Amino acid sequence: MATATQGTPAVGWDGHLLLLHRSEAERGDAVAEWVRHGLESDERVIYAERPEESPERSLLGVLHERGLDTAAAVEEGRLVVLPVGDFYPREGQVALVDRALDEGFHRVRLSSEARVALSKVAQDDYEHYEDAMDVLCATRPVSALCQYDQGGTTGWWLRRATGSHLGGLRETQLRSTPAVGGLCLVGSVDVSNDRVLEAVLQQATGLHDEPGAASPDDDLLWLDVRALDFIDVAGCRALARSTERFRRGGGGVVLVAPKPVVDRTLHLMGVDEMPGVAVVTGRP
Amino acid sequence: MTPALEGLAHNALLHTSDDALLATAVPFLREGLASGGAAVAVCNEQQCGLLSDALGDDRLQLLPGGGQYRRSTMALDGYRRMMEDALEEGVSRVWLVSDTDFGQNPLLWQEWARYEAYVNRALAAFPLTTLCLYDARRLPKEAIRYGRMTHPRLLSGATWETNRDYLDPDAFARAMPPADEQIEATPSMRAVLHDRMALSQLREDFRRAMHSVGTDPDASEEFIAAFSEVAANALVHGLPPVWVRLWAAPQRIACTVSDHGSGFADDFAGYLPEDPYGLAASGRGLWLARMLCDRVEMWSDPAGFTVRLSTWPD
Repeated sequence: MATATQGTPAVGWDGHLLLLHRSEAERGDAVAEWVRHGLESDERVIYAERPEESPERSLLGVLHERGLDTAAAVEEGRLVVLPVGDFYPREGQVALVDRALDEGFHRVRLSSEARVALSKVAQDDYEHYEDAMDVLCATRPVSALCQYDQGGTTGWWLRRATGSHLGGLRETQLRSTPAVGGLCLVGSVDVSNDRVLEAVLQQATGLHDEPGAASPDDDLLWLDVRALDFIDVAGCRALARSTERFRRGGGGVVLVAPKPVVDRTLHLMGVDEMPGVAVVTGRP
Repeated sequence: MTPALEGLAHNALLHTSDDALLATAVPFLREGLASGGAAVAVCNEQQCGLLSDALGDDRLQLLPGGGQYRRSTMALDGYRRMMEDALEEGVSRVWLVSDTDFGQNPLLWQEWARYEAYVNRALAAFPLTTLCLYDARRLPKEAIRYGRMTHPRLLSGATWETNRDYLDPDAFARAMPPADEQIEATPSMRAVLHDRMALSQLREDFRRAMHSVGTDPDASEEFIAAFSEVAANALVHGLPPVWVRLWAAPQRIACTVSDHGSGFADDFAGYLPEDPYGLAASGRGLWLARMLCDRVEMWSDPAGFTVRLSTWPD
């Protein structure tokens, strides 16, 4: 029995998140929100920065510009800015986390820009850190925000970045967050970010492909689209393309509770009639 | 005398009485059934009753008109699906009596005429014989004139007469260029799009502009989706920057999307995609735009290529 899905899904700032930003202003807004969330919850916020960073791009500059008073937080060790080398210690970031927990913090947040990290850390090592962060966020009270410039994050690198951030994606127009049996998609998809949706769904269906997947739900990818405001032809194509292999292998994609205009576009483009796709008004 | 039939035979009946309707439509449907074809009527209730009683043959399939006629692209899509289903069921030819209703909005009559013109090309390959009813008692004079321009043959009783007023679809389109419209003299929202990253913000601006004048929200959302496809086309296939103007009123939404490219020469682009079920086929965006707003017009001038979208919310 299907039930109508109500309300807006929670898409917060916790977990291992990929921030895919298009501009400095957008990056600054997201980082400030993310930091504010941590400080208000009495978490330790640890941020990696190059010493030579310009004042307006520096974390404290970004926060100050957005009206966040950070002096007390820095003084009390709730907000810590580290050089890149210290942010990625040889013994792993678990050391930073454990130190904060030992000092009495109940949660820890970590953030850096990918390009800043890659100026000090080799690509292979960086990927290793990203994978380790997924584990850390799943096993310890940790959240991480990894900042990637959208212009420089395409193709394989986009798929890799999407794949290693299980907590979800924060992109200019599209946000994703894990949900039971699948994903929740919030925002809009058009010709400017169809590749991002494609990467997200490739990743989501790829996980389902992995051997050893146990629950019967694993043949179904549930996409909660009740808070998806818009999808265009490019978005429909991305949806079709990225799930094709999964569906050909017997998997099913279920789109849950689309808004009228999204539903109409999906229908007119025949997405709802593609093999292995169903559109439903609510989850059973 | 019925000519030998191959593919589409797009005929019109211009009539002023029910007797005249029946005098042509009944023999038409009888001939269809006698030749092993299927007989279909897409008409209003009164006409369906008349035809059904006069024909007295329960093989006549009555399809209520109206629904699929909300937009011209929907009508075309509906008839294409009807023909594909018929072919799948092994029907050799469909004999269709179809009422013509150009609706209440004079600004859309020309759009319906363009649809009638394009039927000659879009459905050309289907074994379909039509009798399009043009009831001069109900229809405006323009509609009758357009009917004459868009049907290769006129039927009357058992006579099939070649129509000298008929224009092929391209000639018809050339004879019916998009007109200037009053709304374009009123204030508009203007924007310049340089890249696709700005589309989302512009959709939001459109939404706000329509909301502020009280446009129906569902009509607004569909119009915004139509606009987004056309603007994306201009950015991806045209020559940016893309100039956008929006006019919003409760009973009327219009926008123009112009780029500096040469556009495309086909006046009927997007009416019916080449591969209607292929998501990847080109032309899907324009087709979607035609499905989501009431009228799509295109023209080239020395400054570039413009697409104008219009919707008249209910």
